[in-house]
Amino acid sequence: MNLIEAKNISHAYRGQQVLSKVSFSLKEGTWTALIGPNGSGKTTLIKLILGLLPLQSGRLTLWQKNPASELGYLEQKITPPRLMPLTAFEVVKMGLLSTKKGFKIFNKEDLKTALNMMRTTNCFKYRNKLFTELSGGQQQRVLLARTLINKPKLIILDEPTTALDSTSRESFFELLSKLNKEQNTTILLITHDIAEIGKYATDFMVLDKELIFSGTKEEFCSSEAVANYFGSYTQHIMDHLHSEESCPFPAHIHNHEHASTEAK
Amino acid sequence: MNPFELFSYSFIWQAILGGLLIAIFTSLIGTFLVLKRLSLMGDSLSHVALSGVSIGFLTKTSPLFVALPVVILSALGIIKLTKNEKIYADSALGIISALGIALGLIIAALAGGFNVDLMGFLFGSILTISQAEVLLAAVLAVLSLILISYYYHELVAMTFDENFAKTAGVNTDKINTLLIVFSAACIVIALKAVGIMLVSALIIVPPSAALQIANSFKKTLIYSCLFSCSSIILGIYFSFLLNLPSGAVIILINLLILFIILGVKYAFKKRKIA
Repeated sequence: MNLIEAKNISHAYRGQQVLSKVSFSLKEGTWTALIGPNGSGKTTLIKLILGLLPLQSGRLTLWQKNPASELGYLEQKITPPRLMPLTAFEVVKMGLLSTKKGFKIFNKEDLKTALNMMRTTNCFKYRNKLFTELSGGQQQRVLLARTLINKPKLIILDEPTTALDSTSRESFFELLSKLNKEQNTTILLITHDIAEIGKYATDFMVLDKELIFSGTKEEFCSSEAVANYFGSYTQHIMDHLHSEESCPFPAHIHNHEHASTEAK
Repeated sequence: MNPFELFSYSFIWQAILGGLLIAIFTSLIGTFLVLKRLSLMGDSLSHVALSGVSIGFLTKTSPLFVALPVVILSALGIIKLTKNEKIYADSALGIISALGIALGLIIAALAGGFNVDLMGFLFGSILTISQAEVLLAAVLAVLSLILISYYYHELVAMTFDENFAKTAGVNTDKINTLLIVFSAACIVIALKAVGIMLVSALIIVPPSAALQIANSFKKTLIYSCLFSCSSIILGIYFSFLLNLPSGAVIILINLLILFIILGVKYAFKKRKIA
């Protein structure tokens, strides 16, 4: 089943085109890495998917009309008011908002769920601290808990690990990987770190105002369009992505490079 | 003079009741405005209120009831202007504010200049609050409690992270409009307590003091309400006792509470470092 189907999406800010006729589909259960240079329209694209920007042209179909309760979104960084009197626990609990109606009363079960999610994302110990007093990495773990709390069908992440150290990044991706494999959660991740994400992503999208490539990791590795787009950087990217089973093209380049280095 | 003599006057009780109701809705709504960095909204809309009040005097109708739609319409104008990417939000507030004062002064001049009644609206005169105005304040206080209770989680989420609130399905445009229109109504009714010149302080100062000490959102709302209510009671008492303008005394007490809290916080911080 496709969770997202986009047809000929274009978008412009003050007359400047940032997306041009982008068409793609996002299959359920995939982990898609959305890559592209700064200003390539990645964030605009996900904001259109999330409904944070109005669609100017094209067609965008989501798996249901009102996906809020099945959709998780995590940004690179948020900037709440400096004096915002909210504890980390209250921020996580906020994630259940889309599942509530009327006066939105949270019951004991909800509170338990929030605490458990904080344990899962390793932020339980600072649950009673004010969110604004936490470090960038701690804040990001709290926000991840908020994103995951209602078990979303689709999680959209916009460079979410920028504030994390390497160990935290690893555990962050491991947790997402577990959700992806065990609960069939679909992940769409904007990243610049292809090396890191190559281990987890099943699909890739390359965007530079227009869609350069969209397909599986295997297709990405052997794509002519990708090679043409990245030019001399292709080998570098493929080296990072190299995996014996799924990426034969870089393996060849990789071995060749090593052989020539050794010969020297 | 007996310091408790004032409590034997019925108009004092009416002023206290009206003032407390005003304190409730200004402090509750003010907390969201302060955190959303919309404090200046109160200032701009109070200046617009000058136009409304002046129209009231010119047409010889109730100034407060004329100011109400004028200020609400201006609030909607501010929303429209701030949505226009070509004008910054603070500039939009400045534009509306300037328009409000300029028109207000011209209409006031046409209405016969600055008489005692108009001065009452400029600087507040809670002691002259009428029964109809107390009733209006009561309606607004109840409505603000309902609004905040019903949309509490949405308002908190929007204040904290508007993008998240939108993706969680919150109709942020509707709630923002509701909050701003409601703020406009609150400002008009609060004019009676502290006047056009000081009404924004009633919206800004109590939440600012509460934010210094509260460790949760609910506590912030409660403290803000308590500080505002205390300032109304003490303000009426001292202004009557010392024969001073009530609006100014109310605001000075609010500021005193804020400065005491800041001072104590600073002293604690110093002691901790030492």
